[in-house]
Amino acid sequence: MKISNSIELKTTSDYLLPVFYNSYDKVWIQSLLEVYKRNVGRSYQFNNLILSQKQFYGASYKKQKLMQSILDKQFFKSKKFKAIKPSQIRQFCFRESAKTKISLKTRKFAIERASKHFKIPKHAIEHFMYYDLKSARISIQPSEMDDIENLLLKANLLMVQALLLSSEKVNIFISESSRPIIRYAKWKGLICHLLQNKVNGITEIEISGPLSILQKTSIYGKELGGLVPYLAAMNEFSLSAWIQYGKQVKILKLSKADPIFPKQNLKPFDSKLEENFYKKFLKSTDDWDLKREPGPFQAGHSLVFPDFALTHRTNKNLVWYLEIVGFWTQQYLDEKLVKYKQANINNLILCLKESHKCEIRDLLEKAKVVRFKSSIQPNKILEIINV
Amino acid sequence: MQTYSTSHILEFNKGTLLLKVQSSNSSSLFEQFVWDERVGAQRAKASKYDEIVKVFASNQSHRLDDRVYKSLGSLSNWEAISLRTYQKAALLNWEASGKKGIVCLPTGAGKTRVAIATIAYSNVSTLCLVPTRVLLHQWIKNVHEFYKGPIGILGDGCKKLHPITVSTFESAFRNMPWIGNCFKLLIIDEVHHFGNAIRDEIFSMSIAPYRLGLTATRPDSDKNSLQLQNLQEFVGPIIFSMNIHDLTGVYLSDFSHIKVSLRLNQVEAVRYERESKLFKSYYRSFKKQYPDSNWQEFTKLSSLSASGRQALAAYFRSRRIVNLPEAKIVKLESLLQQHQNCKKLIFTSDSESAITISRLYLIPAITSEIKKAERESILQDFLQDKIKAIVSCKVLNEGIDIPDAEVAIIVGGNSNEREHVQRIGRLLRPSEGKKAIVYELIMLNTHEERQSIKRGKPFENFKFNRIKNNI
Repeated sequence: MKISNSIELKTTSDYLLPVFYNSYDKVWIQSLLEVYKRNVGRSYQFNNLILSQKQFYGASYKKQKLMQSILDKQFFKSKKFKAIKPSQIRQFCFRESAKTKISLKTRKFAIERASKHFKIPKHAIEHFMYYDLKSARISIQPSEMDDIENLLLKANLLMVQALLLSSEKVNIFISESSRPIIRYAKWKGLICHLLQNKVNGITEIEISGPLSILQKTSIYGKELGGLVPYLAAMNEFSLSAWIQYGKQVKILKLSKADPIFPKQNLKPFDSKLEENFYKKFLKSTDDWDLKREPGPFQAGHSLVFPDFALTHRTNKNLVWYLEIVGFWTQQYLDEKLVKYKQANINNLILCLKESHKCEIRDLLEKAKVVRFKSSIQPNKILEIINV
Repeated sequence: MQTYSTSHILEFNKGTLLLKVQSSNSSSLFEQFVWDERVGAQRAKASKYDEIVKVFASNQSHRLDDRVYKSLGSLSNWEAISLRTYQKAALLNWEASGKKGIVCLPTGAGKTRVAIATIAYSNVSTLCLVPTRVLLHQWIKNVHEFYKGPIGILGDGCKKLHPITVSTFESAFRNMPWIGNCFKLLIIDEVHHFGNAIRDEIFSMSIAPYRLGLTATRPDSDKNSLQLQNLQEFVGPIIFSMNIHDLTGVYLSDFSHIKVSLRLNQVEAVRYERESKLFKSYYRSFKKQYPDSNWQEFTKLSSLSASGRQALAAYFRSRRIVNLPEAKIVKLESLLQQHQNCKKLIFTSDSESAITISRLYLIPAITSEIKKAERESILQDFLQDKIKAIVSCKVLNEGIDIPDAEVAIIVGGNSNEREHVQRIGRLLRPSEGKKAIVYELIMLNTHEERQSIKRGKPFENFKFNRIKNNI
């Protein structure tokens, strides 16, 4: 899809200028938000139908669409079914229906049989039959809702990242340590080329992919877009990205002054392991919330930051802390355990790589150890915390 | 004893090749390489590997320390594969054209069998690329029939490499920088998805000197000439081609094609007319202003104005009316009853219509939202006669083996010839005494009439039964 079809842009002969969301957009976003709030309890399809007929005053089509996609994610989260899966209802109904001649009459009988089989009313059979599909998903009021200011910033960040999807390389000028940027780039298989080192205190790095010098490619666009949140921590920076725009290459320039950093934007993950666990865990349970980097907790004269806090949704007092230990030494592990002991964090789950030869010494009484090969299975964690 | 003036190390580096010169007196550069000052070495596309190795082999003054290929083990445990005459011919043509090229065979003609025979014949590490997760598992099953060794999977949450590995396009695209040096043969199912600059990097990042593309529709009509050019570069030329006409009756089932023309009811017709009028008046004035514009430009520019947006919204509403109006539902019901005991495939133009039909007649729908386990269970039920019909929008268009469906009901579609051929192809897998029937439901006085003519072009000279205006 062409980027100009989905992102509000202005162009000059050399530059791409995204039209960022600003305070003038707040009024229509508030109205849009009201529609979502009003439709809580209704289906995705219904909400979409209502919005397809609405054009908010002051909103451009593209900006409205992008904001809707952000709100969709917050209001229409997927739901797990524990008692009867909609797919089981479907399978039963389809098999029953196939036994007789297809007609609207025989359909009624199939639904009746399903109702008896699952011991739920007929209307519930109808209601839950496709309940798991996105189109039938029901809107739920999010427990934590972004304020409008943050929604604007999130949308702007998405715009920038969408533009960077078509980029081949970026140049970044920074005056601080470039370590987090370089660490991320290397993790993603990109090449960092130092163009100028600390001239007037400023470092210029070019970040691109190996294939970029051989052919036009957009394969690194997603990773280059992933760099942007790391820039939020910089006091000052300037980024230039070369973007394939139709048959031309245009430049996108970004700086600290651009409104592209959401306030509560999550700090990027330290490792793929953490990121995978975070995503998998949230998918596998509806009962627990997962918070990254809770704390800090006082541990003697220093501080300790567990990787995650797992809080039960209905019983907020039930909290477990999770620490992932990837590739570290015995000394590191011992020091870490001492800190947790000093911090009196009893309900600790320590995830240790199986290949890790370290001994677990001085573990707190209630603490648990989970060994993993290459990734941490959420089920193992849930087995511990659900007891 | 051979003496070399220069020594080189060739390495695979994230989907490319890096050439490091060990002795300092080298000044010669090879045309396949570009100097990469970011890393201080010569860099080339991985796809040039075979060429580079040959250049070095013929060059007396350069010694190559080749560290590129990463072996995943050897292939063994093959069972005999029998091929039909045309399948053998396809394999021979591929061999004759330097083990590169595209085979075009209609759905049901055994493209996968040709591919498996190619792997067995070449007996080299192979990466099979398939478009969807459903096809990923189907391919693994098919390869297992003849190859008893382990099969690697890349996609659908799995990442396991073996000398024969099957991958979805998306997973291959993401992983090629790390696995591009593990395979010598690339098999690309539904190769017509490539050549349009989307995920084409897969081909540059793989060292595989041998490549086989498979498709049911030749990607060489005029509008696709650039695509064909690209595919020739990445995979090779079209080396073998047969169409449905060539195989029907002998290797593919015979079929009847029945066009059923229907009318919108009064309310629908008025609504359709109103929406179409709104759209057409805007579109005409737009076309006057921008006579050379295409549809993408139209949608882009019209979304900038309120009247343009209204026109676009009217366009989509008009489409929705025609997708599943009352007459189609009534006719569909009568066709379902008429072919009560046959296995039926129902194709719609959108997922919403597929789900509506599924709800109305309790027929399983296979859409992109239906997960793998459920999809497999539906296909299994279909195979075992536990259900008699499946409704789908696009998921069933390509590749999925449905061995014995006899009736297809096309409730809605677009003007894409390729999609139409693929859909009809779903019915043509042969079985004894089978005579397939394709029903195409078309709403008169709507855009569907034009669409039907356009997508039916590949079947224009067909000798099969064709019943028009069967209102």
